[in-house]
Amino acid sequence: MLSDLRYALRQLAKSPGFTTVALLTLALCIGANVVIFAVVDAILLRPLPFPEADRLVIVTKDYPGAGISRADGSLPNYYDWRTGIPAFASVSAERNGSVIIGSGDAPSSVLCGRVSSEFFATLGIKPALGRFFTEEDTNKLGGNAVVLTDAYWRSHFNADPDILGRELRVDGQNAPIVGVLPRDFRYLSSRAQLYFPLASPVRERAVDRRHTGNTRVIARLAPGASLETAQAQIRALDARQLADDPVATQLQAAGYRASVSSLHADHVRSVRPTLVLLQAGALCLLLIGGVNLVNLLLVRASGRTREFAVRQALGAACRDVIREVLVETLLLSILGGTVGIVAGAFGVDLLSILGTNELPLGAQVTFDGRVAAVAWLGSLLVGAALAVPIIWFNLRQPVALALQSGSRGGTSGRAAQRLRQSFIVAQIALAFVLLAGAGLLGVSLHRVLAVSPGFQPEHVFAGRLSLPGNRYKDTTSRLDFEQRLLSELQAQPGVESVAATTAVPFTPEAVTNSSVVTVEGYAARPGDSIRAHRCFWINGDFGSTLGIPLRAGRWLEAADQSSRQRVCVVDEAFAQRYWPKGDAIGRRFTKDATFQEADNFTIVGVVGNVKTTELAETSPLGSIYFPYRYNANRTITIVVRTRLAPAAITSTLRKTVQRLDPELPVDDIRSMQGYIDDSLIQRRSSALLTSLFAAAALVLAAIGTYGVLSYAVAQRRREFGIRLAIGAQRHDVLRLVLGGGLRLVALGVALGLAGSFAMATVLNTLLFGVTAQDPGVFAGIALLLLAVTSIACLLPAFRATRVDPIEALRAE
Amino acid sequence: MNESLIKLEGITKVFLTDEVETHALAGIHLDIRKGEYLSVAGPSGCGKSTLLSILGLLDTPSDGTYLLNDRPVQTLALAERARIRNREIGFIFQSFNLIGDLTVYENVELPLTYRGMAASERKQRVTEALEKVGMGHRAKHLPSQLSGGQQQRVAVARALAGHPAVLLADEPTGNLDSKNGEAVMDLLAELHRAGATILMVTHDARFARHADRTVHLFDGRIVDEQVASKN
Repeated sequence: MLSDLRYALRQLAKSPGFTTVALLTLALCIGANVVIFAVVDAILLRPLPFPEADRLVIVTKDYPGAGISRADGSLPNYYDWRTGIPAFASVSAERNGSVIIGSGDAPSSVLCGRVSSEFFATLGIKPALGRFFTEEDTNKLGGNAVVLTDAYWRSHFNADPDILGRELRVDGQNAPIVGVLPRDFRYLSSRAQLYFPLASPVRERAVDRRHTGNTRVIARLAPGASLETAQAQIRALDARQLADDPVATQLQAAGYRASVSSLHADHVRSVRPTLVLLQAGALCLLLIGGVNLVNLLLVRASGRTREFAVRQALGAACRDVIREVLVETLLLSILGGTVGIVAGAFGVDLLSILGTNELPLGAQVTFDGRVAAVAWLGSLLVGAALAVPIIWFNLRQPVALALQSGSRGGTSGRAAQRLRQSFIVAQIALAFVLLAGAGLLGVSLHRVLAVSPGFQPEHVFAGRLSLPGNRYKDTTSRLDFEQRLLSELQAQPGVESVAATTAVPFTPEAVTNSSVVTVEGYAARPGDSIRAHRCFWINGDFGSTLGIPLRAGRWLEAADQSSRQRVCVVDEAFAQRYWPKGDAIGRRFTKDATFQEADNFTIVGVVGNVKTTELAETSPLGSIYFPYRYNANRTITIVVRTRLAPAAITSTLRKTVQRLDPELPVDDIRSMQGYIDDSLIQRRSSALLTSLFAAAALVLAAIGTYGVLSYAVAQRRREFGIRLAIGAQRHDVLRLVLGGGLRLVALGVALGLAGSFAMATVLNTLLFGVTAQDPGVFAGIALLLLAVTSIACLLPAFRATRVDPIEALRAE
Repeated sequence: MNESLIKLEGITKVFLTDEVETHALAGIHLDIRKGEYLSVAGPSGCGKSTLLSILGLLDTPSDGTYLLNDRPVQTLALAERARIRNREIGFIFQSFNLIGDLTVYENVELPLTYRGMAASERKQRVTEALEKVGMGHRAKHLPSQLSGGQQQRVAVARALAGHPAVLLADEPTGNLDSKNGEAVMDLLAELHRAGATILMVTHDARFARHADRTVHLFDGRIVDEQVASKN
């Protein structure tokens, strides 16, 4: 074995050109796979970092008739399910939020989680210090206990072991520190630094709040219980509860049903198709690179036919030949794999530039021993796979014939030639599939970027404020602060207009703030049901600030915040649904499942549709803009249209807020374009990465075609010499070689086309504005591939025309 | 001296290409005794190389019996044929067939490595074989650094190292000038005198004379047989 290894090393050193190309090909292909696998492993494959994580589930609710899918649960659901579902060993509720920590000159806004008493037990987590929450904690409003994350404990308390019992100033109130979380704890993609009990007033737990959808409910399955059992039990409970539900008819019309799914699968659901596609793309690249290498190795093996025949003549058995070839290909794959793994490790670090940190579980993407081990194993498998055709080649020919053909200048045989040609066809077909995928994703991204969000995001910035509950106890105090802030900001130089809102488009709040409405006098068509719509509670000059066009009536005005008339503005999608003839102004509706004469809103304006989740949104839910006072949330977003530079507006916003309330921090100040860009991370990254893979595949396919044709030309020198000697013109030889090459390319393109059609169902879910069988894209890719591979065919074809007949015949 | 080492009975070889039958060997009967030096002569295409391939277990006959040391070997499995090639047969090719990337020492050692022989024993055998052909001083050289005659000497050493029952030489002087050719023939004669069994294919009458016996092949048949005079 050692002598085989020595010999293999000598062989590689002897052909530096081949070795360099082979190692670079392997490094590129394995490196690309390492990078993508690190992401796939962290996000899709690894179990969540909790004991028996496969028993963790989440319950979501669908109202297909109302256009709502995978909605969160609610507090009443949590209280019902934790006693009424035997398949659950424990049930927990959880919400995100932020609090203001500290006071005086340096208050800071900190992300937090609000969780029910069993939350950490459900996850299987024990405190590093102290305790977690009790039922009593969750029943107490105000003065909440706090549990610190390990990072917060270390950064703010220098890992003080006597931290328990000390108090933290939270939203202007003192909260006792009761526990510290273990060092490696992180709940899904949450960036919460502190945890508080999910305290709720009794009215929030009432029956009529069952479908408010503002609380995530997770559970741990009882030992032996399945998802299906839990789901059946929830649906049975739902069926019983419908009997006393005041909106039972609407729920049935909306097709309401609860679903239990794996917590992990649910969390990564949105990125799964993209990641699977990217991993398939990387594997496709590896396959193309592998095929290229096999062809190079086959060409080398052709030059060593006699060597292997001599070895066999001297007594080498099949296993000796297998071992010798394996040692060489494994050595190559290990060396190439090592370079690829190192490159991949750096590539994983670079991924954050593409925004992988923003993906679900994206912060856990890392290059570690497990990824390295899989990459090593993969490299070895590649090495073994590369050896198979070479072993076949070396063993297929009778030794006697190989010795004779070697001495008599024979060719490597038709079978080997056909094998090399079929590899070229396969390589071109795979390259076509990759190029088509990249082309479609690129066109899709281009089309998405051309879509207007429905507002003008340029020069618009948004910053978030969280008003402490103890000082801003009611709507009046919050509204008063908001009015003063908007006035102050409006007066700042460079500020064109300003508004406040409970959410801006392209943020999670824009999605969660949805509600069903009942329109006065509207009779749902058969099969239709009440619909949910996006709700924004706004103040100030929201329309001008965001640049949302007014279609009819008027925008909300300052007086609407105090007027006795309850008015609102709706968008065109909303107006079109209920009043297709265009007479929405003056109409009334209630933000509830039934129309209430005493609690309704009158429409005073219709505005343009705004995308709320992503530019590719195709069927808008319809949006409603209410005066802020009707839902005076403590968390508000200030939106400013300005000509100032980002740094200047950030400073202006912070200083203005500080002037009005020195204990109020402003955080997350970002441009609206930034929010839109973030929504495009998946599309942009997948288009970019597949384009890189496709470019590499194109180069590999061109190199492969060139290599095989060059070898074929060298093998057929004598034939070309004879052809030229008996009167063939140079262009006849050119046509012969070029025609042969282009036939392979055409066959590859045809197979690639068929493969791309087969991929259509997978790709369609990721595309926008283009179908997965777009003839324009396919034609463009075919032309590109034909152009590049034609150049690769032309070079050896020209070489064939330069054969000197006398020299070629004499040489033989 | 009269003990039979190789016995061919009715050996035929038919090649089938594109539905055309080519009879390369048509009923060969041949006996080779231990310690005998036999040459096979004949024009190009008469079946010399095919006969040598069958004798070297590189190919199988279409029909007939091949006994090596009284053991029928014409239908053995691939692995067993490889084992016999390695232990019983030493090849000397016209174009030397040394492996260019291995040193002289490694080339001679190669067949021994396939036996799983211990390194110390391999070293002893290789040194012995190289000394026998007068190439001990070139052990670390690559074949490309040697003359044709020297390469063929190394090839002979490689064939000898395994202590085979028979040496099969296929036109061993075909790629050499007359001086080097004579030297190789002298070397084979010397090995024969020391007891080696040699079967040599040649079409050069001068070299065929070195053998105890010469058989002439024509169209796949033995058409003549000459025994050298002992004086």
